[in-house]
Amino acid sequence: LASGMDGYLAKPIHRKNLESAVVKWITDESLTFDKTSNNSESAVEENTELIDKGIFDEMRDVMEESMPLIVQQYIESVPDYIEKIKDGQAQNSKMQIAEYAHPLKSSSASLGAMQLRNLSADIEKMANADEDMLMIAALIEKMGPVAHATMNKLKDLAK
Amino acid sequence: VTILKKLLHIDDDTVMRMMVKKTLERSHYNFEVMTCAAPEEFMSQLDIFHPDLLIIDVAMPIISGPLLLEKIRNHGQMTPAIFMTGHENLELVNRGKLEPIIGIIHKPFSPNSLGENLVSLWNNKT
Repeated sequence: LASGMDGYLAKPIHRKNLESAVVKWITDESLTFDKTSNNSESAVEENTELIDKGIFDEMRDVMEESMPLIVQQYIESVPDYIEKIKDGQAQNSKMQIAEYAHPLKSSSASLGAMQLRNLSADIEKMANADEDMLMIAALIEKMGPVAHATMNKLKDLAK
Repeated sequence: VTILKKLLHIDDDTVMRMMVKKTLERSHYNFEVMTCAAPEEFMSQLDIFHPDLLIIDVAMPIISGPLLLEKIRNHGQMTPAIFMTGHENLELVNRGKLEPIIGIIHKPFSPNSLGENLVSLWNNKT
């Protein structure tokens, strides 16, 4: 298969594999997320669902046997996007921050990961509006804890 | 109007590629769907896959969707195109150079109606 083609979709992925991938992701110390940070509790909004069950279920109905692989791909892509966003922050590049917050917004929305979607949308909007970097940084800081909580919720739903 | 059959799609996000491919293949329109992550691959598939319709993500690193389409049109390739975008308002600066564009689909798309939307845009193209 040529690179970038998604011909491996037909490969059966078992729920167990997905679960172990999720567990690995959550326990992997090398990931840039600081899940022990002291704001991890307050970063997660109480008023918005982490995962919109309606959107998630609709997607699962359509994706059928591909859903675990899609969830797994999403889970693997989230730390990469967050790393690129943090890298943009370190380089004081609002353009880079917006560039990577954007796809994270779209893929999160597609799976119903609404808190991560909203956070990414706010970050993208502020970066595009050339808002103060300190304000943007405050939102970026929330990404790790929110992503972590989102992945935990996805792990529950994948069971 | 010819029947819409072969779709060539590009998005840099793996999850979006998988969702679009699976959604369209599962719809009852018997689409053949080829998805690409890289612009060079997308360009080369134009002559190999011979798509009826191009589905192009707008915000991509390396080269944006509109720039990619401009490059394609500069090669004299006039396959109709649809943009997919997560932006609420999409402003195409030099749309004239990019035509034929037969529609814009917003992300997140509804997985149950994507195929239907594409066919309706295809049938209404002038």
